[in-house]
Amino acid sequence: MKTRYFLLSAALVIATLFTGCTTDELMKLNGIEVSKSFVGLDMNGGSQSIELNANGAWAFEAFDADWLTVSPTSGSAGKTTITFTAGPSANDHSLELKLTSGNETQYISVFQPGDPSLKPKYDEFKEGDYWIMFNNEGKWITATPVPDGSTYGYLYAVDAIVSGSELSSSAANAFTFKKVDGGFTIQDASGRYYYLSGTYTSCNVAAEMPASGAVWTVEQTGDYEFYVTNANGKWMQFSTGYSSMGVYDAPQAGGLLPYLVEMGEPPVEPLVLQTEDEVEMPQEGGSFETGILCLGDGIAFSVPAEAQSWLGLVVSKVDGDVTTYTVNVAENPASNRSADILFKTNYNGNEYTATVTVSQLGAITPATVGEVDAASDDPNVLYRVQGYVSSVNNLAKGRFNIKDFSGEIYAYNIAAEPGGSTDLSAIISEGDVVTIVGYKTSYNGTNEIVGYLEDFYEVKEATIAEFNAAEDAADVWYRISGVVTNGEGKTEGGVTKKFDLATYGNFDLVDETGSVYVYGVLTGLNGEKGKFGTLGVQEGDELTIVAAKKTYKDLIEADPTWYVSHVPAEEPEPEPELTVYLDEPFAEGPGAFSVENALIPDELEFIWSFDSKYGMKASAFVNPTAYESESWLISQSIDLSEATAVTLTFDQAANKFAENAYKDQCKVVAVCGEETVEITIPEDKLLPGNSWNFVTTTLDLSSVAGKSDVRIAFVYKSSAESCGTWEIKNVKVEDTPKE
Amino acid sequence: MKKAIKCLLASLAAIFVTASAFAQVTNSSLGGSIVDENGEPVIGAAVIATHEPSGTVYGAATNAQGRFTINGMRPGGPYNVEVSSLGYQTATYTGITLQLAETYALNATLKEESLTLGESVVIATASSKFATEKTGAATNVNNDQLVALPNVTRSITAVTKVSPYGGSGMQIAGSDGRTSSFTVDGASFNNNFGLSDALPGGGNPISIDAIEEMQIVVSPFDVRQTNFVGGAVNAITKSGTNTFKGTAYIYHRNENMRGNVAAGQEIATARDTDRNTTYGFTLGGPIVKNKLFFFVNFEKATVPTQVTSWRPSTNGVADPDAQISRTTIADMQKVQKYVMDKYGYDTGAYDDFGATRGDTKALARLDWNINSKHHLAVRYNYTLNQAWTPTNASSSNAGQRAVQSRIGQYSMSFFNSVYSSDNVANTFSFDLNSRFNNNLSNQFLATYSILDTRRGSPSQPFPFVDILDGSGTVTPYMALGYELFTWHNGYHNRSITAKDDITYYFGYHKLMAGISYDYQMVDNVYMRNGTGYYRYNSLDDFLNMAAPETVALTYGYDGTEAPGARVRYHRAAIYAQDEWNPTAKLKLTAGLRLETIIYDNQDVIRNNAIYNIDYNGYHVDTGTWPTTKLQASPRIGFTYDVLGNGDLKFRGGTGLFTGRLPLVFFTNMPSNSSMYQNVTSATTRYKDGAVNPSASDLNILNAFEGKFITDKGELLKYLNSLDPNKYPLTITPDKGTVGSSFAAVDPKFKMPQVWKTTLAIDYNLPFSFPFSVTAEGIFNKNVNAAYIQDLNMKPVEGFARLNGADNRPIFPTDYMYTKTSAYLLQNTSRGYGIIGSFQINTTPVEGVNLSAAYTHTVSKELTGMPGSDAASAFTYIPSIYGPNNPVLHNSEYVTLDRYYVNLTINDKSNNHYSMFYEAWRGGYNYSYMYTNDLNGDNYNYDAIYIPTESDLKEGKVRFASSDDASRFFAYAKKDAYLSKHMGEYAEAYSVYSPWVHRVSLHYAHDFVIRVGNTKNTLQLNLDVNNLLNLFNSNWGVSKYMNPDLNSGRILKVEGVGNDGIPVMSTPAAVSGNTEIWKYNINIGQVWSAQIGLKYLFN
Repeated sequence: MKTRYFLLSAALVIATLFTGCTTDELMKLNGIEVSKSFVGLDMNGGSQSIELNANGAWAFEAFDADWLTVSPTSGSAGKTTITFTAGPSANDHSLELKLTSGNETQYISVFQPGDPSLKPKYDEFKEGDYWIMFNNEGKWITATPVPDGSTYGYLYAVDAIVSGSELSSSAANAFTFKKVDGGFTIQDASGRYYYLSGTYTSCNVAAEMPASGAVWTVEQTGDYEFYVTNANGKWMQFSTGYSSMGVYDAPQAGGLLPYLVEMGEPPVEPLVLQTEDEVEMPQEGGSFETGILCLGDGIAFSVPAEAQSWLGLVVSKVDGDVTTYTVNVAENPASNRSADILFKTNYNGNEYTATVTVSQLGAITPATVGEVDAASDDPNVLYRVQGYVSSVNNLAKGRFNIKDFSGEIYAYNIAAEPGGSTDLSAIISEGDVVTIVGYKTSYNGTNEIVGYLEDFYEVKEATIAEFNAAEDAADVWYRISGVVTNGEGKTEGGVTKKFDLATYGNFDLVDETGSVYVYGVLTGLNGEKGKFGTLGVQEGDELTIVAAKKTYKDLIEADPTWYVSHVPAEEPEPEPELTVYLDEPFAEGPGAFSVENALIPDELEFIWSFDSKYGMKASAFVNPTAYESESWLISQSIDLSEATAVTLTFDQAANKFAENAYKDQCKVVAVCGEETVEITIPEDKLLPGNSWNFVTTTLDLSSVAGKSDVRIAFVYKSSAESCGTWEIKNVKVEDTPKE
Repeated sequence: MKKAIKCLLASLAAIFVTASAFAQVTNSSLGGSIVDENGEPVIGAAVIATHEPSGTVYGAATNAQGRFTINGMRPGGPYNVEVSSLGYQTATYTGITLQLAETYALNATLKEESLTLGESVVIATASSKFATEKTGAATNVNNDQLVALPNVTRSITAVTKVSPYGGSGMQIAGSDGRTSSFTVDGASFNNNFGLSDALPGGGNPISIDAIEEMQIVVSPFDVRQTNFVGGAVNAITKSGTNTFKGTAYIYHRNENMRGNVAAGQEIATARDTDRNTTYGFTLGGPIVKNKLFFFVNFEKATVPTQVTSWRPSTNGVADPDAQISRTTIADMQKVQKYVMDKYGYDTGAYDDFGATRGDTKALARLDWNINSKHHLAVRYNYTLNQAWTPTNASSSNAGQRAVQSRIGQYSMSFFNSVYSSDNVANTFSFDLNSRFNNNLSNQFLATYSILDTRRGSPSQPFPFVDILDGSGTVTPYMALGYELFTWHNGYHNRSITAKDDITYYFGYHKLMAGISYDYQMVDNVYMRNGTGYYRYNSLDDFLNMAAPETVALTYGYDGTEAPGARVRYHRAAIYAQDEWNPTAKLKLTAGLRLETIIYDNQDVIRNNAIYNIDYNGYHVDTGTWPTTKLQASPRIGFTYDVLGNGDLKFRGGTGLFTGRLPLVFFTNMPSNSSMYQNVTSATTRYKDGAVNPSASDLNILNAFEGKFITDKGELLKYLNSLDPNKYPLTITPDKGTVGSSFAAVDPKFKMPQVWKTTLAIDYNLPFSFPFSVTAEGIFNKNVNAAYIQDLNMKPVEGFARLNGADNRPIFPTDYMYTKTSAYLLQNTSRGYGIIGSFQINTTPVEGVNLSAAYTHTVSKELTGMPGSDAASAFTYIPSIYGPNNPVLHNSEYVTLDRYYVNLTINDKSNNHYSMFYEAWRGGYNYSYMYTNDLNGDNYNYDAIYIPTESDLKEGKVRFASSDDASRFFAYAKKDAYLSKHMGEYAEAYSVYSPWVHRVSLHYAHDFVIRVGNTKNTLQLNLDVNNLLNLFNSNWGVSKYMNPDLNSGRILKVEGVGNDGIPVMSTPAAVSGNTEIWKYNINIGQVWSAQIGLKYLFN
């Protein structure tokens, strides 16, 4: 026995020992395998190949590198040899390429070191025209001369023009290095000599060559690095701290040494845009800068008239030959728009132009279907609206109806993407929830939204059994139907169920396959919570909802859900039309009634009076006297000629009457033309006459049905022995409902 | 006539302890089978067990199989057990000691009475050679061992070193000490927040003099066990008995009672005044004899201190050497009087900063034998560990921090602006053990623990005020009020447990079923400026109520007084187990524990700014805790007594254990999403001697001209009226903001779970004296361990890889999905451990006991979750594939090898010696890494590839120069780890510090004093730690990696060549001559001693 237990335990221990792959094996993609993912190319150029084995079609993501050729850039499943080719390069290159197959991405790093021998070197510095350039954290800048009129100053810098590996600037920024005894003199384009005076670090300028400080030695010390040194041992440097060039004790921390670029041809284009020529602005607008290098006779710009309301330009900086404009773009309340800003200059008699295209996204207003339906037609106002496909006209042409809690609208020629195909038959189907961006229009009285499909999600048709078997997921939607069933108080899965059709919509939904507890139904897609009662769904109705599955404790719930439609359990008998002949609540006054006093004592001004709380009120008691009186509260004429069975209903209260006096002192009569018919109050509806409590009294008016001129009167009588108060409100004459 | 029989009478009785060791259990059991001489069960035999010190009587009768069991008994003893049956000689066993959480098995053979008429047999039981027999791994420490253990600091966790798997506080069996469990009488004493593995109450939540017995468990296969994955320590407190017994004691240690030189080098602060005196007493006895008992303990340790020795001046001239501040007494008196007259606020003294650092512990326990069937124990304990600190020197959240300290040469503060760090433990335990009949017993245990680490203040609630010197710089002159960072500041832990176990005994089975519930609440409250904060440019500005230059307030939304990052959960468990003795030799246990945690989502609110971030389709909801899940822990165990006499036992078991994680990894979620409190300030910046506020702040500040609101509620109301957007009273998910990172817990997260398997053999060697050996093996496999991933990092699988021998993936520039890192706490099943130990235990002659053990521990994990911040737990794991893809490595908590020898000698002249020798390797564990970030993941924790010389020849690795290469290889050959692992990636935390050997000593001498009829004892105690260091300052000093080696960063990547092979250089400090290990010059490394005087009566 002991052996058995020992072996059992030992086996357990061994079974748990190391299994499976090493971490390194796990760190690989399933569908893409490359022989190498770090590709190094020789500085002299050439090719390198890697082997790719992909399980599916593959392609490189687009990349922007003129130094590298990759072939092929896409292909199908299987093994492929991919070749990377580059020419010789002076500079280091590196690039991260992304190769995608299925949903996997393989990064491939390509690297090529620069060949120092290809970098320019001046073995012996020769006199000539040079731009003084600096590389400030990867950005090339060109020193500009001391401004006219100044005799000294630090040299500021403007962006250099970089074209491929060519550096250039304007001729105005060039300096002439001329060989003299002991070194070189430096003159700017207007011939001024640059010299150093005393211990200052700024450059002095003079039209004539000064006696001292104007001779510089020039020596190339690195690939892009020159020592330009004055006789007193100071170096030309660009101070990144002050953003200017001066002459400092060398080498300074943060001081950049100059790179002297032989002036080639000045830039061919006299008008060169230094920034992007296409600018996309967000809907809320804003501003951007655009820089123009202009060698011509000034710059003229123009903005199209239709764009002038939202697009404006100001000059924000002039830096040598480069003018920087700030372009301000207003918020876009309407649809997408764009405009070209045209810059012009004249150079040597020719006109040169450059264009900056500004495009701006339009506003998209989030809206409900109802709001779009109610909006006025305007193709410039875009809405984002979500609805479910309630019916389909022709999906291949993008035509269908969408609906949410607020309403329904026809979606017409909806494209799969902006400007794309309207064939949505492979994309969505009836019942799916779609988000459409489009504008409101109408055709022959039908409101439509025209636009494109921005987003959608599927709604699956399911039986309740299928729904119950699904995974819990808040974002997987099912359309389910069933009979609304009362499960109040039953406990299932640890939860006591409720039945509430008036507010939230909590009930069991039952079909032939099963039952599910529905918890809180919105009034429609994106509809309101707690308003389920407004939908008029009753127990026993066949209800269709869209729901996601959730398990609360152990109870399966349809939650969240929203209402689609319902079919009442069985058509209830249509309520017969009941005609209301008179409806006078006495809410604001005697209304349809007037008062006729048959007997009123001189001391009293009125017997029937109006009271906002108690309706019409009759009394002939003025403390301490009880008067004898008779007064009629009588309605206008009503036509009961069509009526067969008709009823008078009113609320009354009677108090302070002597015992049994009510019966004689409070009467209801119908005056039919000349004839007066007493509407006897049956014994069981007589009031005791000693309470302020209102009682609803219904009397049969059948005796006057069929007559065309009937006036209903409440007749109050009082005597010195019994002088009560009678209050009447909510008087209604209507057809008697059928049993 | 009674006949005493010494030693074991094999023919009469076979005694061994079968047991299931279980933690969180506070009692003991007795059980066994009674047979006659023919081996037939004796049915209906009466077993009466009497706990002699308290006269508590427990009774049972044997069943049809001749078996009996008694549960819920008081641990300890001695017990006197009488077995009687009509027609048989009565057998009485004396001197039986029950161990905590153990079942003592008493298997007796009764003789027929006719053989020796009228006699009964008294059998004195020698203490079992296997004091703790069990299925899994557990070590019991009784009171004698506790007292004898050398323990200079009277630390309660020092006791774990007598377990082969202990030795380093709560780090048990190579696990993170923060995941171990510590209970006293079943009540939690865990550091549940988990900033460190120190126990609450300042590390010693209960006096060691109040402890009766402790148990250190690693793999007990009882299903009542839970709440740890590494190991657990369970203690029970002392109880009163029928005899009044007490002790009074005083212990002292100071700076002269410790070494000041380690490895020949003087330790700078070793002789600074540091005097610790502990006074205390214990008293126990009967209230009603045999019925009701009490036990109390009180102890206080004091260290007198001055919070600061700076004092204001009379003349406005500072004297830094004499610690005189330029702030004048006159100005301080003026301010003191002004705030008292105007606001009734007492600033406290400006010239007296005396306060006592101290530690107070109190405990009271009642044991009530309600009747023979019900026994109740109730216990309360309180600990306050308090230390005082001057007001924070210069921090605020007021734009610029002060350029000088608030107390010092330039500025002074008042006494009521100091604060205390209070470690508080308050625990309560209610333990009812019932036996309804011979077959049915029950235990109900309920505990409540308040374990707080919080700040205290002598001040009334009042804003904190900084008064600057008016110089146009942020130079302080005076400060007063409730300390700026103290209001409600603290970590709080509330823990409630309740459980009920019912045991039914029938035939050869003992069926146990139970339910338990526990509640945990931990939070971290940190409200800087909680009482409000004002900063004035000058003293005149303050006194004239000019507009302040800063007003700040932190407040909870919706009126919450102490908002915090909080997590609360309820855990419910049900469990059942069967203990089956199919034969007298074999015991099997099988059980199942089911538990579930329900988190309270009230404490978190979703931050929509976070939720809306798309991590490749995944969204993180920081407004919900993990969902409720069921975790099952099935366990089986066995004990097989091979020879049937207890001399050779084979035991083991396997099962799952569900533990806990430092809950700070939960509270990081609300902390980082900041949806519970608003930290606000309106402030100015000083520039060129002038204040320079932003316009919006200026409006707020000007509104305080002539207004100094002392009530924080009024202050908030006023601020809210000034700017409801900046000072909102409530928050909704839409108002959340997002920073560069946040932390969250995976909704699927489960508490850590480990599958443990143990196999062991215990053998009593056939010597004339007790000599036992044990070999034990433990295998642990993670089922659900914790680790953290940054969802913002793309998977590395498709990243380009280097081409050399080191071909790790390189992170591309777009390796992140968004700008916000999302540290998500998740589960992994990876990780395992193997531990082997060998133990001996012997008593060669009376009075001498020797135990020794050797343990080898291997534990592999993905992460040890270092630190307490999600980012740190994520970052500090050296990796090859980036921090999202840690590889299995040796646990950072592992002590690789450990020996100990524990020798105790009690001679007849009242001398007690105890020597503890300990040697270990590891403990400081290092990793070899590149100095810089090779893979471009922006984490500077890249494990190196250890090149071989042939790699170099073949061009698979490249060094910048041949000097770099030769220095590296010279170093690598010398280093034990590198030389063995060339051609591999360096494994994290696998470089172990070298062996350390230490001896510590406890000596006690008893002077016996007779007072009337009672024998009292005056005991002189001396404890010395690291004794050998007294003789040679090199001895007993541990070593750590030479700091020149930059924590193991021994290779630098200079760049990657165009062929994809990195070029490395070797830092100048690394060469064949580099000393790898250096002595750790530290006060903890030298000898230290404590003397004590203890008076024991009765």
